Amino acid sequence: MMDETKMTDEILMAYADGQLPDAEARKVEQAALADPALQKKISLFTETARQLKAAAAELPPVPDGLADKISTMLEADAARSDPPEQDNVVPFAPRSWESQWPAALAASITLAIGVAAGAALGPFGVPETNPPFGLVALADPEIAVALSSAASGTSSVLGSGATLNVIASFVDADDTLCREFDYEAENGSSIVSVACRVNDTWRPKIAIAASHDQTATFAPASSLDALETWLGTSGFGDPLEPAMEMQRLETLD
Amino acid sequence: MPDSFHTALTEKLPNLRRFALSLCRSAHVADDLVQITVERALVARKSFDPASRIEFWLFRILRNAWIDMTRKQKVRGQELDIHDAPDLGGVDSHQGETRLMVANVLAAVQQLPLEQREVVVLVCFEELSYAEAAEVLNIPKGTIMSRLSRARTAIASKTGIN
Repeated sequence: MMDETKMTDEILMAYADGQLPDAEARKVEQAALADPALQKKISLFTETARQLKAAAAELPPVPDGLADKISTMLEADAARSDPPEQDNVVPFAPRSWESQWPAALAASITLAIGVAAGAALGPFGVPETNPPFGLVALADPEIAVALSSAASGTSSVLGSGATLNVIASFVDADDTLCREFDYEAENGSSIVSVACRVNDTWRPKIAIAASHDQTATFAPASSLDALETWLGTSGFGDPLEPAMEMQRLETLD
Repeated sequence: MPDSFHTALTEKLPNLRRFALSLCRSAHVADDLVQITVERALVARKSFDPASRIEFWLFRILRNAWIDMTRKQKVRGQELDIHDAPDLGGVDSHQGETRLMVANVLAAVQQLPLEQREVVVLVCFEELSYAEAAEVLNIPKGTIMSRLSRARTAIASKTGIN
């Protein structure tokens, strides 16, 4: 009987790892019976799995410094919460990873908000009265001040207690200066945004919520992928070099 | 009364640290990553499904923390220190030939490109299924399989396994 499936390295490895469905595993066995080269490949994968497992048997020890820090964090956490009560919380409709994934993906997409052109970062102490899409955080007037002066890679703590990390500067195809930053509110929520300098005002072009409590549903990485995609399709080049960035900031009004 | 979630976290610290080391190859950065992971896990605790394996959930948090970190590092033009690459193995109690093989295998893993190294650590060290590793790394299962088979072919030729 002729092979219907090509016996790729991937299939042979999956067979050696016991990760092929039965029907496919039988096909591999049949093909291997008459083919010493396939047998050799399978044994390579079996043997590497065995050796890697043996090498992994002993974990590198956790340094005392790290172990101490973690145990301090856990003690602080225990003091904050009420463990017996938390342990009794029955998860509401527990779902498998498989069923969570599409929901998480969908959520991360809706988190990427293209900000309408009308929204401006309130300049110098005049917060917008109606922040668009409830993005109250971006109405913080100190953001605009920091964007006009701070070098990329620097962090500053604003009067509201929030931390502003200026990540990078770019220019778009029209030579408009744009800056990527992340704004971490005191409650741990975080917004990554890109604002561009238009008519002497910083206007947010995109804002992505990346709050830490969404970590478990994996929004941050995928939503940042969305940001990368957006940056890639918006005509921005590579981040500006520090000297070039400084020059552009100095010429702002 | 000990908190079972805290106990599970503590038990998985060595695994988290090894995964972190395989990503960044810097003890200092790996320790930071583990710390960030525990912080985020505590905040996100309610979203953990106790019926699932906690390390799977934690690896995913750690990987996302790593992406956040490298993304900022990349655009800030800073380089992570990869020169003090610590060993992925433990205190070696093996004897003779086995010991040499273990050292060779670990060295071969260290030399793999990051994209292959992280797959090897998750599947062959931490014993995640291909599908689980695909979810942690957010790439298709087929990509996991091609990276893993290339990695293992390379390890075999470096260490004389055939």
